[in-house]
Amino acid sequence: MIIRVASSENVVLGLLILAFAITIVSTTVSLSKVEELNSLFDQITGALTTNSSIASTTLTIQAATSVYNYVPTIAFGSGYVHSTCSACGFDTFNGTRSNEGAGTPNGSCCVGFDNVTNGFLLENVGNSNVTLNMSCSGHCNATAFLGNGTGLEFQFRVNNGSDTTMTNSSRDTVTDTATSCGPSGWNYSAWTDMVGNSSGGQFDLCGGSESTKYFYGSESTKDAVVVDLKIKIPSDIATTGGTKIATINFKAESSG
Amino acid sequence: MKKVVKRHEGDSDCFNIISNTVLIIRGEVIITILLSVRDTLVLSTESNSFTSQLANQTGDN
Repeated sequence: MIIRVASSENVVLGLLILAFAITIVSTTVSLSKVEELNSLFDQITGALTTNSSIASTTLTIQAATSVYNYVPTIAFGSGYVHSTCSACGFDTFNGTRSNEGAGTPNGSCCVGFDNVTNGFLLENVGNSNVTLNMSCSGHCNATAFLGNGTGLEFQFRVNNGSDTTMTNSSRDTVTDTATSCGPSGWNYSAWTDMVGNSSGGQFDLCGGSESTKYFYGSESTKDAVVVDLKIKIPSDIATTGGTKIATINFKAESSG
Repeated sequence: MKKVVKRHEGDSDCFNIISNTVLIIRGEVIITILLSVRDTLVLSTESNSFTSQLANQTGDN
């Protein structure tokens, strides 16, 4: 009986040892499987990962290209050169002047013409920097616009809205304090003959070349530009009569 | 292989460039040049002269 008990205890002991061994082995196998699954979980959406910080935020800022012209029409009215003068000259900054476009404003040499003191005032009211070009159609050069005569002129110049010694930009939304065309300023800042589009008159006012593309800024303190016009009508002008119109097209181009 | 996409300010792929936007702004310049006073006077003188000659011719007849 004693022998049987001892044998039974050995069997139980053996079974316990076997069970313990199986537990150790299965635990080891399970742990290794968990480690394999850990890398698999990284590819499963929603699974918690311990080494990833991926996040995605989307913000769309719309680009608005918008340039406003505060002076859409420059009308000099109708008039003639006084018989005692050699010419009548005026520009859209200084207003009506006498002989050579200089001298006393509202001089008697220009009879009847309106005293215009505002050139085209353009403001970049969008949020995109642009390239600004200009072209003219209709009666564009001096002969077509005025007639035939000695020393007649139809010219333009382009300057910063911030330059009050050269331009009248009082209608600018926010007074400019710096150049609105990149660091170097505008092309054609001196008086330049107007040339029609059909005669190759394409004027790159700001940012025309590849290196200066989109130089016309949209910042409120540097977004205004004034295009002034200058007229000189000699006393020997021979005009065909009637009203002459030159249409100026400004093309603003942004990157999108 | 885990794929991580990083986006930073200044990366070109942060901006969706669709196409160039072109805007045309139009302006007009208008002028009318009249005949000068001197031209008007010359025409008036010629007209008077012509009228006077007609009157003389009428008188002769």
